[in-house]
Amino acid sequence: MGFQSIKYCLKEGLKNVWANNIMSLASIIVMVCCMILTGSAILLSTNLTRALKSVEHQNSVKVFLTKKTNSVEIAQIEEQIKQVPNVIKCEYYSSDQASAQYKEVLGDLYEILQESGNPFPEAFHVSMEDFSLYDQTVKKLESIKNVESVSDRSETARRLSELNRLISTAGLWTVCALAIVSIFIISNTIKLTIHNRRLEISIMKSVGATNMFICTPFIVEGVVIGLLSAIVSSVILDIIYKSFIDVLGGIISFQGFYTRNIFWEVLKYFSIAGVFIGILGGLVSIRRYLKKEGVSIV
Amino acid sequence: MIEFRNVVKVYNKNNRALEGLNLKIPDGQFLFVVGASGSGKSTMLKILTKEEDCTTGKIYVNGVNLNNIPKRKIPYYRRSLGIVFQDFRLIEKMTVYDNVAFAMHVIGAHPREIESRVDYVLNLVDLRRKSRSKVCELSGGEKQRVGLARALVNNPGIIIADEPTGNIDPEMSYDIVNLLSNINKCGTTIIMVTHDISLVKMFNYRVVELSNGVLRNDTDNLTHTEEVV
Ligand SMILES: Nc1ncnc2c1ncn2[C@@H]1O[C@H](COP(=O)(O)OP(=O)(O)OP(=O)(O)O)[C@@H](O)[C@H]1O
Ligand SMILES: [Mg+2]
Repeated sequence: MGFQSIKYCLKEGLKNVWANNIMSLASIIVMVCCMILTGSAILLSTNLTRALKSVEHQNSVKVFLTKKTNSVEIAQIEEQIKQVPNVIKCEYYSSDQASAQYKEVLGDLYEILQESGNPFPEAFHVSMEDFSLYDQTVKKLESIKNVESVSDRSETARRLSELNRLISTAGLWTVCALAIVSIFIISNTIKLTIHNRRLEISIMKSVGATNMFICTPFIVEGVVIGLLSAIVSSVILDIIYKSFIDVLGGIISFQGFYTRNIFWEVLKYFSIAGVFIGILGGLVSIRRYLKKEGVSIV
Repeated sequence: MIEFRNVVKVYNKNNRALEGLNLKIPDGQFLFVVGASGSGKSTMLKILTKEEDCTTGKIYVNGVNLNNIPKRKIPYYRRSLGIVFQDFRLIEKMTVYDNVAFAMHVIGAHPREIESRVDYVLNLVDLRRKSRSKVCELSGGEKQRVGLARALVNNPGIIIADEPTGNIDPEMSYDIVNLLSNINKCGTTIIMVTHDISLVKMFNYRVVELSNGVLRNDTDNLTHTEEVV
């Protein structure tokens, strides 16, 4: 196609979007909803994965010792812990350290706790190499003499990873379903345009316009709808995500959120999806008409 | 030169529209095609414009066998034809000028070329004064002149017209055929299907009659001349 043809097709495509404004708007709204749902699922999953990583990353448990252990015993226990397979690091965490840390957080309230002496046991931070061997390792640690208990972090990790798997799977199906819905709605919008312009199509064919030329305005229409949807949903999702982080960040002090500034990245992926869906929608709708000739079009 | 060789067209397995049509149309000829309703006239033209493929037989246009034109080349073949429709097929909400220019836009012509060429053909069909009018404001005869201008605008070697006067009154019909006749004088081959025998009689051109999908009479075949008209 030459330059003149491309210019003409682009202009016609834009005209189509405008001329068919109500249906165009409807399909943009549907696509925006689809994109926001998809984007939310992906962002949620990304953040969960990060949260999971930060939990797993520590790969550590706290080993609490019984109250009356003395410093010699503590040193012995440290040696024993280091001997346990899968343990790569073992750091002493004294009851004074723990009490100091809590004092910072609780302030005055802490004084009340303090009345009956330092409530925190001596402890070790133990890091594991392979988190999947958690259960065996914990059992070994618990069997060491003078070990009172081992903090259970795996439950959180397990729950998070289960939730993440669920969201990923559900998210994948949602994305597929919504993509199909989007293609369907776009192709229907374009079908309406094509129906309104069938006389023009039949004339184009009779004077020798190529199929490529006949298709292009409708594909442009689909792409424009897709891109407009991408822009609108990026703006909305950006706003939703920011306020979500602000609200949630005020409730739980989790620092591992995925970057706050998602706009450009989201816009990039939405645009790619929008263009792809637009092209598919255009092709689906025009396909039938390309095979027809003459009167059968009108 | 257009040549139909034993062309058979069967619609839906048993509807035989053409039953072995043989016809030669030399370059620059004006040809009327007449015949009863359902005799296969439109089918013959549709095969010529590649709107339909023939079931068996061969059609040559300037030495090219139409059966051998690949699908993606059909648009380029059609650019050598100018097609005029009984129902005009004009875009009513567009102006006369834009309707004619449309045919050039969609084959990628340059705007400057479009401007001069459209003016030229509108002049030819005597519609220059109305070039800014909307098609819906025109009379039937004027509409068909726009259709004719559009068919001419890409400078085709062959004009194909299926009952171009079918929707306009008799005096206007004469004007249309007269215009076609003038175009023919410049060397364009014209094939015109019509039911209007009185119109055909006003011009001294070759007439062929189709009957049940075969050529029944041909004024070039002198023995049958009287039967036709
Ligand atoms: N698309 C089609 N599908 C099936 N049958 C068709 C089709 N087009 C034409 N026919 C049949 O082919 C035969 C010839 O039709 P055609 O349109 O060529 O006749 P015609 O000579 O142009 O008639 P008219 O003068 O009424 O326009 C008719 O019997 C018609 O029913
Ligand atoms: Mg007919």
